[in-house]
Amino acid sequence: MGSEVAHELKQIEKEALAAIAAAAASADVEEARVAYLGRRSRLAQVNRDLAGIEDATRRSLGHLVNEVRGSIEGAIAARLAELVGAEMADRLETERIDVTLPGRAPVRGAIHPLTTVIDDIVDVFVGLGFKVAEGPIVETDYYNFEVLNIPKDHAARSMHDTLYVESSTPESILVKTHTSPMQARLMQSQSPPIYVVIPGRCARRDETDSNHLSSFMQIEGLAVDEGISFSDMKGTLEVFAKAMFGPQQRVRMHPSYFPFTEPSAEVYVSCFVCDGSGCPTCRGEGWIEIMGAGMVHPNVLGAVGYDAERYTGFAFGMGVERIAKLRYGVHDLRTFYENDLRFLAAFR
Amino acid sequence: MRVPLSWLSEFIELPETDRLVELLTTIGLKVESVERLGEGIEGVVVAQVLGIEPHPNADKLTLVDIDDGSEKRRVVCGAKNFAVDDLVPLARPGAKLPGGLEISRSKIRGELSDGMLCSAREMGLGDDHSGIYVLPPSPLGADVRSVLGLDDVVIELEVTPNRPDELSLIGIAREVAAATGGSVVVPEVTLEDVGPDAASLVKIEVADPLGCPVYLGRVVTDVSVGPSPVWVQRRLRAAGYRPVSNVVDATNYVLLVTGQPLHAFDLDKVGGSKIIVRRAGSGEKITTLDGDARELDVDDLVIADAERPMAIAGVMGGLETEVSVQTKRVILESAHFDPRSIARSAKRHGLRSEASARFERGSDPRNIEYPASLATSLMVDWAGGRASAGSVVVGSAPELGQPIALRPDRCRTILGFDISDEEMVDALTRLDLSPTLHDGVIRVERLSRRGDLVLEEDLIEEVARLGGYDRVPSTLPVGRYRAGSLTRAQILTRRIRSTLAGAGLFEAYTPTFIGPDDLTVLGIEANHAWGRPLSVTNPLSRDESLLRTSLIPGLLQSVKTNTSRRNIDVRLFEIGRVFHRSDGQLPNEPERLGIVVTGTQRQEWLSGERELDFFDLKGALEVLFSALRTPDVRFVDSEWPPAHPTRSALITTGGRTLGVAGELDPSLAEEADLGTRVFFAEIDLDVLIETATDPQPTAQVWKFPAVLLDLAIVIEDAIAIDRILEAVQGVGGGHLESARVFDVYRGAQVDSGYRSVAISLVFRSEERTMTESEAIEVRDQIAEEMSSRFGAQVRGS
Repeated sequence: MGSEVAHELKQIEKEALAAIAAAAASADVEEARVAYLGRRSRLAQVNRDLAGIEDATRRSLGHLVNEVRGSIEGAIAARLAELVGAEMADRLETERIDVTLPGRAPVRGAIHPLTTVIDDIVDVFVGLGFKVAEGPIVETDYYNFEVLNIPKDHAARSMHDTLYVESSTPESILVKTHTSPMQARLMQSQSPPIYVVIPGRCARRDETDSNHLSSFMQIEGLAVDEGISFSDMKGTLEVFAKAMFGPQQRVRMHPSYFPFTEPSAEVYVSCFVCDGSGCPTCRGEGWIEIMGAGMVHPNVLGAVGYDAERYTGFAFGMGVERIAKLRYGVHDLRTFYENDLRFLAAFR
Repeated sequence: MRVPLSWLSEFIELPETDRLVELLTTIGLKVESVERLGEGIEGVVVAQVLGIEPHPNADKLTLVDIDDGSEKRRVVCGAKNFAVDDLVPLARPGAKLPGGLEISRSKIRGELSDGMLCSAREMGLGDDHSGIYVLPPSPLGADVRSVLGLDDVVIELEVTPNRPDELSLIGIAREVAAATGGSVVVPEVTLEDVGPDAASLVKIEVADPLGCPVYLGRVVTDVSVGPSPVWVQRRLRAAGYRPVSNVVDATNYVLLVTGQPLHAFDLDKVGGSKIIVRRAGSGEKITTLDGDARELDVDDLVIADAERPMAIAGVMGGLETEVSVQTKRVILESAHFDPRSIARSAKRHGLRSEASARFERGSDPRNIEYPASLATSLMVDWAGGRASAGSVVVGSAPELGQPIALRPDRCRTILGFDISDEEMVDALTRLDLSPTLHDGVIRVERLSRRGDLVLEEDLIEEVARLGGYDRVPSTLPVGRYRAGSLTRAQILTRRIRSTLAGAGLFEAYTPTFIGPDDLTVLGIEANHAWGRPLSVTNPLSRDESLLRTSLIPGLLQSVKTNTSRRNIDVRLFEIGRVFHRSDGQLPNEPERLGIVVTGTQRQEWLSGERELDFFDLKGALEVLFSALRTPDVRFVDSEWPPAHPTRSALITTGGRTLGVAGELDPSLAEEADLGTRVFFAEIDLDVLIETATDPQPTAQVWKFPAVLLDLAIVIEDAIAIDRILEAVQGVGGGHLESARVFDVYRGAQVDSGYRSVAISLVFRSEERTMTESEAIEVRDQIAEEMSSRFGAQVRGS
C-alpha cells in the first residue's frame, strides 16, 4: 500500500513538473497550481486518504506528500518568476510612448509686462523700507498743480498738456498728469517720516504715437525725514538702478527743472544694452534717461504744513512704459495697450 | 533753442564743440542735438530759374527750367515762391541731402524731373519748408555749401521753463562763462539820433500798468524795406527763423541775441500815431500775422492805436499794421508784460510765438533799452533808416526783491557733502550774483534776468550745478528704523493676477478713456450702471472723450484687435479703476477686475477643438475664488444687460455682490463686430479683497477612510444644480463630506424638460471607519428627498 502511494506521489510530481515546465504564460502556471495543488487535486486526495493508514507508514507518506508539494510549489514559483519577467518585458515594450508629443498642460496665461515692471520697481523700494500707495486718477487742479508750486498760468504748466474732466467749475478737475499729486495728499495726511512709492495711471493731451501715449503710467517716489540730503537721493536711486538694471550699472544726474523740486535732476543710468559703449537704444550716448528727481521744494513742504527747516526730502518719478520699453526692447509704446496675445504670450 | 556756434562765439570764447556740449549738459542746459551744417549735402549747386510753366497733370506742381552753369535742365517743383531769374539750390541727379536722401532723375506725375530744387529744411537748415530757398547772388554751378557758409555747427538746447534768460545767445553765453570762467562780450551800440524827437512822432499810453509795467517805443524813419544782408539771413535760418525783411529780421536778430521780444509797427498805419496798452474791449477783433481773424477776450492785453487793437500784447502782431515794403516809418516796441497775462492770452488763442514763449516765462524787465537800441542800429544799417532822437518810455521795471541769504551749513546739509564757503561764493560770483559773506551767511543781490532765484534752495541748486552733480556722493537715508511692506490689498492683488495668469488668462492694459460709441454699441443707456460716464472737456478725439465706467468696453476692443489678427482663443483680464459720478468733488474710482473669454480652444492630439464658453469663464473665476478663499460664492441667475438674458449671473459672496458674469448678448456681439460668442465678467475688486479669507488653522485632516458613492437622478431642467446640492447637503448631514456634480445629460434617454444629473458623494466619519451600508443608507435618504422634494426619479442605484 505504502509503495503504491509513494509511486503515485512520484507520478504526480513528475506530471506536475512537466505541466509547469510546459506552461507558456503565468495563467497556465496558475492552472497547474489549481490542478496539482488545489483542493480537488490528486495530491490533496492522496493526503486525505492518508488518514486511513497506519501510523508509521502515514508519517513517512505524509513526509513524502510535503516533499512533493514543496517541489511543485518551488517549480511554480520559479516558472512564474520566469514568465512574469518575460511578460512584463513584453508589456513594457508594447506600452512605449512618444515622449516628444506635447504634454497635457493646463492652459497658462501671463502677467502683463507693465505689471512686472511696476512690481519689480516696487519690490526694490520695499526692500529699501518704502511702502506703496496709490492716489486718485482724477485729481483736482489744486493737487495736480497748485500745491506742487505750479500756480495757474505758470509757464511750467506748458510742460503738461492737461486733459480736463467735466465739473461745475471749468478746468478744476483733471486726469492727473503725473503721480506727484499723491505726494501732497500723503504728506497732508501723515507726519514724517514718509518713505513711499506711488504707481499710478496718468494722462496727457499728447497725440498717441510710437513714443507717446495719452494714457500712461508713472511711479513716483517720496522720502521725507529729518536730515534727508541730495546725496541720499543719489545713493537711493543708484541702489535702485543696480537692482533694476544690473549690478554693474552706474547712475549720473544732470541739473534740470521741476517746479516741485529744488535742486532738480534728470537721472541717467548707464545703457544696459551696450554697457555704456553706445548703441541705438541710448542713441550712441551710453546713458539712458530714466527719471526726473529732486529735493522736495520748500514751497511744497510749506503747502502741506511741514516744517521745511526740520524736514527735507527727495522725490522722483519715472515712466513705467518707457522702462518697460527699454527693458524688453519694445519699439512702439502702443504695443503695451493693444494686448495682442502673441505679444502677451512672450511674457508667460 | 537753436544756437549757431559761429554766432554764439561773438559773445563768449567757446571750447571745442564736444567739450562745450559736455559743459552745457553738466550745468543743466540739455543739448538735444548737434548739427553740423552742410553735413550730408553733396552735389547741390546754384542754378538760375529760366522759366516756369504749369505742370500739365497737377495743379500744385510746376515745371521749372533752370541753368546750373554747365547745362540747362527741367525739374518738377512743388513750391511757387520764386520767380524767373532767381537763384535756387539745385540737387542734381546723384546729389545727396542730409538724412541720406539721394536724388535721382524721376518722373513726377508723368513729367521728368532732372533733379530737385531744395527748401531750407531739405538742406538741413532749420525747419523752414514753406518754399524753395532763394539764394543770394552767387556764381552758377557753385556748391551751395560755400555760398551759404555751411561750415557752422548748430546745437539745439532744451531750455527749461524757469530759465527764459537762456532763450538768448547772451544768456547762453553767460552760462558758458559761468562754466568756463570766461567773460561775456556784449556788443556796444552807438546810435546817432539824427531824426526828430521820438516823443513828437508817437504818443504812448499804458492803461494797464500791472499788465505792462514798462513800455518803450522808438521810431526809425526813412527805412527802405527789403531783404536783409545775406549773412543775416544765413544766421537767422541757422537759428531756425525764416528771414522776412530787413526791419523784421532786425527784431528777430535782437530777440535771438538778447532774448527780448520786439515788435515793429508801421507808424503810418497807427491811427492817431498813438499807442495804447490796454485790455481788449468786448467784441473787439484782430487779424493776427498768421492770417487768423480772432475775437479778443476782455482779459487779453492788447497794443492798440487810437481806434483798434494792433497786436495781442506779447503774443502776436496784427496784419493791418504789419511792416511791408511800403513802410517808411517804424515804431519799435520793447516792453515787459505780466507773464500770467501773456500765458492766458497765448493759451486762449492757441498761439505760442517766440515772443509769448519768452514773456510767459518772464522776460527781464530791465532789458528794455538795450535791445531797442540794438535793433534801431541794425535797422539803420540794414534798411538805411534814421533813428529818431531818444525813445518814449512809460512806466518802469518793478523793484527787485530783497537779497537772498544762503547759509553755507544748510547748503552742505541739503547737498549731503562738504563744499567750502569759498566755493559757494565762487559759484555765485560766476553767475554775476555778487555774493558777500558776512557772519557765516552769504547774501546775493537779485538779478532781474534771473527771476527764478528767490529762495535759499534756488541758490543751493546753483552751487550744486556749477560744482557738477557728478561730485555728489552716494549715501542712503539713515532715518529711523522702518520696514517696507505691501498692504494686504496689494498682496492679494498680486495673488489675483498670478492666479488668473495660472488659470490661462492674459493680463491686459487698456486705456483710461473710451468713446461714446463703445457704450452705444453695447446698448448702454443713461440708466445703466455704466451709462453716465464723465467726459473729458478737451479730448484729443471722440474715441478718447469719456472716462471708462467699466473695463469691458476696452477689453472688447482688445478682443477685436486679436480676432482681426486671427489670434483665436482670447482670454484676457484687466485690473484697473473705473470712474463713476459721485456727490463729491472727485468721482468714485472703484477698482475692477474685468475678464473676457472668447474664441476656440485648438484641437490637441489629446482633445478636440472646442468653442470657449461660459464655463471657461466661470472656471477661471472659481479658481480665483478658491485662491482667495472667498466664502459662500454663488452664481445667481439674473438678467444683466449687455449680457445674454438667459446666460448671465450675478456673483455674490455671503450676500454681498461681487460682480457679474455672462455671455455678451449675441445680437450686440454681432453689431459690435465681435463675430463670435464673447463671455465677460466684471468683479468689484474692493469687495473681492475685503471678503478674501485666510487659511483656517483649525481645519483638520480626518484619518478614517471615506466611502465613495454615486447618485444619479432625472430631474426637471428648471431646478438649478445649486438647489439640488443644497438639498443633498441638508440630508447628508455631518457624514457627507462633499457632493459634486460629475455628469449632466439631456437627450434621447431623458424626457424633454428634464436632465439626468450624476452626483459623486463622499462620506466620512470623524470617529471611525464608516461602513458601506451606513453610507448607502444615507444615500438612499438623499434619493428619497430628491424624489419627494423635486419629483426626481432615481436611476438604477
